[in-house]
Amino acid sequence: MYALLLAFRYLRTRLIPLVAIGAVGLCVALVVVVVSIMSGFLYQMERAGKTLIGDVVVTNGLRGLPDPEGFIAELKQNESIAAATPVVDTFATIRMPYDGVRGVQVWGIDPESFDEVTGFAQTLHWTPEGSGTEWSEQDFRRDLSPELLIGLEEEGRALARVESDGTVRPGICLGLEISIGNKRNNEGTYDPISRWFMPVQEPVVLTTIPPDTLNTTPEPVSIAFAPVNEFSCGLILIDKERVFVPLAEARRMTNMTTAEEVDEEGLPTGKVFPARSSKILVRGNGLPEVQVREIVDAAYREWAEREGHVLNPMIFRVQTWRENQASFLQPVENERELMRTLFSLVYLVCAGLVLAIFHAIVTEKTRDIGVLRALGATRPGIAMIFVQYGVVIGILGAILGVLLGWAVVHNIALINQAIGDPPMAAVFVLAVVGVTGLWRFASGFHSGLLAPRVLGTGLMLVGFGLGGAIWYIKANGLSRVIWDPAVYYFAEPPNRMDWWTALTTAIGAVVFSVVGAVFPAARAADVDPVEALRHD
Amino acid sequence: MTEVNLDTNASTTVLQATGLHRTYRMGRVEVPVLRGVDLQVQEGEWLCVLGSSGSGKSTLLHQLGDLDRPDRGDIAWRGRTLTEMRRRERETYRNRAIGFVFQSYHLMPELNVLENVMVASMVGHDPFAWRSMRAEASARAEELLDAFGLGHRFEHRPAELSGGERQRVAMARALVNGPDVVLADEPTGNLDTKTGDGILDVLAERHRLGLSMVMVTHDPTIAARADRVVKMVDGVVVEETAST
Repeated sequence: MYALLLAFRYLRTRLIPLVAIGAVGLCVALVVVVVSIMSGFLYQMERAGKTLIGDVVVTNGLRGLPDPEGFIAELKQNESIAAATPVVDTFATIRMPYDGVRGVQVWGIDPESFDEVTGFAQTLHWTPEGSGTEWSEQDFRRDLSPELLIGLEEEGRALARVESDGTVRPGICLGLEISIGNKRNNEGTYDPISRWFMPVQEPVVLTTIPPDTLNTTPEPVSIAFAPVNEFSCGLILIDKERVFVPLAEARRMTNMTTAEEVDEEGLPTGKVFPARSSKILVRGNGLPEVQVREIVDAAYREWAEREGHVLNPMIFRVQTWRENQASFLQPVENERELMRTLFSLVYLVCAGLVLAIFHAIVTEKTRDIGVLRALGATRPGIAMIFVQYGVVIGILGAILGVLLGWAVVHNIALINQAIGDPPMAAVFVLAVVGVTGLWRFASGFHSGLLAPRVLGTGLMLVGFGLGGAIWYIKANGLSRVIWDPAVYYFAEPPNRMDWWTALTTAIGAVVFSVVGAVFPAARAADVDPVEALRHD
Repeated sequence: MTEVNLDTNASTTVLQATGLHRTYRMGRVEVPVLRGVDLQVQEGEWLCVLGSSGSGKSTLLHQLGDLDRPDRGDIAWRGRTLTEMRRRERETYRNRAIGFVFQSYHLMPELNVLENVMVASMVGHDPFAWRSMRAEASARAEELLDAFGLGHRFEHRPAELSGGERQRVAMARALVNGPDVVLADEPTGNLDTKTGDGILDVLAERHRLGLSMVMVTHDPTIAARADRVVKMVDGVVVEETAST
């Protein structure tokens, strides 16, 4: 009992344990912040990736999958499957209304079933809810009527535009980063240029060369599309590369339409090849994606065999969305684990800090140890004082670290903004710190003491130096946001707390604090009581 | 702490040292501090060990209190030698049979007066046993502190007490477990004469109630208050006188 009493009293009455708690807390916070941000980054990428893929992807190389609609109709009979959709995937050049030409990834989709699998409609930008409401006086979006936005949403959902004369044009939905009409600002939102408000522009033209599967010279195919809407999936890598067009048009561009077999003289044999798609996306009915994959794989093999479609095992794939995106996600996941491992070295820092501090405390408390031994305390009893002390410091440090880490992660956007572009208030606060330093220096100079002069010099360097630097940066417009939304994949740094990492790091900090306390505790237990009583 | 039966055959000799030798090594030099000390402490006796600085009197006290071990010779408590006791028994011996009073009080600055006294009881019990006897130990500590005129100082820290008050707290700590013998090492050495006399009066009162005491001092006037005085020179008892 005395061990616990003394452990708590040493904690309450001395400054140095508070330093140890603070140091352990900072170590824990460091790991929590770094790993949480990496995990949040990965989570955002996964979420964005899954938004446009569903649970499972079926692919079959360039040749594609024959009669996907037939397979999907059969697959949907299975209660485990919620939705499935065919997708034609190809590359094309896009000619924009402002005479710009660039390459894009084209996904031909059936909007309705694609939405059922991926939630595509939720990513449409020009909707009454999607394009935001907080606009400046000059922003043209103030003039967009709700009716227009509702109309754009409907056109985006249908990937078609009905002209005033009743003709239906194929529509194209562009990633929000493709057009120069949407300029991303430092806050991660978009400053549109009204002149290039895409949904009211002239048609854009996609040109592609169909994949060659017959060893002939393919001819380029060009199709004009009405830009009906734009989408933002949250992953800029996709927003700046991808466009959605109707499935039928994409099939035309890639020669995946229904075809009739002809004989050597060019006459139809009567055999019809069904339309194909590059992939089939499937969403399960709440089952784990791996289970959905097994169901889809078995179903497809059975269907293909029955229909007489030969599968090439080298190129036929049924993958979960995670497996499909592995080349994209795996490096980030590896980086996160690398960070976790490297930053776990802070455990050793915890242990080292506690060891050094406890070594000093044991030396300081040697006489108390002698008294306790004279009162009959056992060696393990003496050691337990310091081990329990280590546990308490570890627990309090871990709690502090988790709270600090949470505060940083939760406010990371604000901190990012404040570091990159500090407010003028920071200059004034630092000026006060500098003046305080000057006052401490002067008082030390007057009293002849060295410590106030050293402290004052430090405060002046921090206050005037840092304050002056911030003032200079602001005065010359050199502010630079560290996580620049104009550059990174996501508009904001991830602010999602990784509680599992927080828990394991906290436990690690407690364990290593105890490890750090063990040696000084053993040394305390071995103190010669006679020598200890003579210790001054 | 494990309960150990320290009861042995009743004897009027509480402590007996036989042929104690102790040599310390100071670098390459060996310094003999005790050179064959024989000593007996009778039940209820106040024994004073008188000697100048370096005579070995404090070392003798440490040996009697089992804080240090002799190179040769042995110490018997109520007829049972310390060498035949197991480690736990010796710790219990220090906790229950012996009470130490030091010249520099050696109170723990982080604990208040009451806790400084009770810590001796805490040391002798594991947390579960302590829970059941905490009230009893607290009452015993308060009773002693009241008796020593510190009833209003329970919550004070040692730094807030005078030297005399600190030594009285240290005496309460030595007595709280009801020891057979108090070993006092120059208990008035850091105090002025008047305050020191007050401390000696308190110890004398306890002695009258039957407490055995071994007190080391270099002051003959203090030694004069004891029942018996042994004089040590260079690690040897050279003279033994009984007070009249």
